[in-house]
Amino acid sequence: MSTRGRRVGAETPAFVWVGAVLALLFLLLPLAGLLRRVAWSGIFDSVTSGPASEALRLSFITSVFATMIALLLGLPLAWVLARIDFRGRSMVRALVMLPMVLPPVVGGVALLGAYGKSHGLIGGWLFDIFGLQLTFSPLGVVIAEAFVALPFLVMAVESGFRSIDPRFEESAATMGLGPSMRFWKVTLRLLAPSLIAGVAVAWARALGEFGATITFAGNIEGRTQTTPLAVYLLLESDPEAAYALSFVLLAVCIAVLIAMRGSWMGRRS
Amino acid sequence: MSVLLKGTVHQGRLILDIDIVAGDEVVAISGVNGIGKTTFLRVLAGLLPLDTGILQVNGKVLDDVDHQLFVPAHMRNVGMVFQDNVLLPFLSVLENVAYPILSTAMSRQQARQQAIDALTDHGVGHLASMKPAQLSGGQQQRVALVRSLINKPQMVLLDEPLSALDADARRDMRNLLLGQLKTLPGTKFIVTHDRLDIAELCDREIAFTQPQSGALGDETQTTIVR
Repeated sequence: MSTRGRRVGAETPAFVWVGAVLALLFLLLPLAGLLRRVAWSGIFDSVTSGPASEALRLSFITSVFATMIALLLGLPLAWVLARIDFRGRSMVRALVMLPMVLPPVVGGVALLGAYGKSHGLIGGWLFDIFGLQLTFSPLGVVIAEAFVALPFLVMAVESGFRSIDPRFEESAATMGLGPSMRFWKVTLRLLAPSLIAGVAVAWARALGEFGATITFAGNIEGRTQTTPLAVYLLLESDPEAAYALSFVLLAVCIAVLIAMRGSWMGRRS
Repeated sequence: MSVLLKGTVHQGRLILDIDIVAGDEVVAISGVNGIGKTTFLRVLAGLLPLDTGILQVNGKVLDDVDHQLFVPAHMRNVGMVFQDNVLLPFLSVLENVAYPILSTAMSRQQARQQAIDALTDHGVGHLASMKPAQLSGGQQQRVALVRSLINKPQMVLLDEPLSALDADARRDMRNLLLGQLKTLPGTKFIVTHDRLDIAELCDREIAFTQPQSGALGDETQTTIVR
């Protein structure tokens, strides 16, 4: 439209521009500061040696397992929330979303309350019967990360379920596809973009987890010290490594944003 | 007699009260919007169970509330075409049409060949390798019709198959249906508002009607189908 921006009501007051630019600067300035401090020439050595490489390795493994747990548990939960009408559904949804707004440290304390070996709700029982100790173990890191990542996955996949036109599955039924075939061949395929977005955002959240991890699993180098914890510690002893690790996390998050953008705009189907 | 349906189904504020018998014929379903025409087709397709009564097709009971018997959609062998395109967007035209017969005993190669033959017979063989999004509305409906018939269904359900099409595509599709419907075995139900469709395509018409609602404040609307 050639008269764009000239309609009455579409004129943008000056203070909007000023505010918008300030907001953008506010968000971008720290990123610029981070990038400026990265020692590019030594970045490879920084992240492939010492505690930094240990932390990256641990973070990668635990976040992948945490994302798998979030996917396996989150997909059925998203299904139930999106498609089954039951009393108290909005209540359940609110509870599911709670870890998204809960301070992560509180999440960690809550996990201790549930799985702590001596005082947890089922922690002692897990230890007595299975010899499982979650606290201060890599498994505890996975649990903490999955706890904070799961709601993100559920949210993305639930909205994915809601956006599927039910007539696709109904027509598949009239084509002779039974319930499980319909799920694997039709529903899951239509759900793929949301699944990818959900997995990406859950993984990014798991990778960046700090508060719940340090509270519940501790900060043991090579065992429970994930990348965010290492960044925090290295800032004192080896700032160069801290900035290098921060850059790695930043790059991963940008990649995740790109992956989600592609799927949300439906380019993958 | 081919289709015997006597029963009721509740959908929100709507109650459908049905008592019909249909043979090997093309039956027009008419009535104003929201009166329950699509609901009626969904009951026949097995996408919606009856709340009371019984449905019998070709002597086989598909839904019997009293005896807690319900044959789900995927085991009914019906062909259904919806108002607008519901071809699976991630499959090609050929794969869409071959899908219903892939689960049967024939080989993959046979299924594909049969799908190509069916597409060619309906004048859309050249579209086989395209994705649904690349087709016009008329082409999509044509392919949807081919897909619904490929399994040799015992009953065909067409939910306003022409209403989303422009005038030219509508005429083409009507001609296609004209050639197809009368020769197919089984009962064919076609939901339509169009008098021309009813006159040209159908053997008879079942008009859905709602008697004046009863007591003031009565929330439900009953649709009578006879």
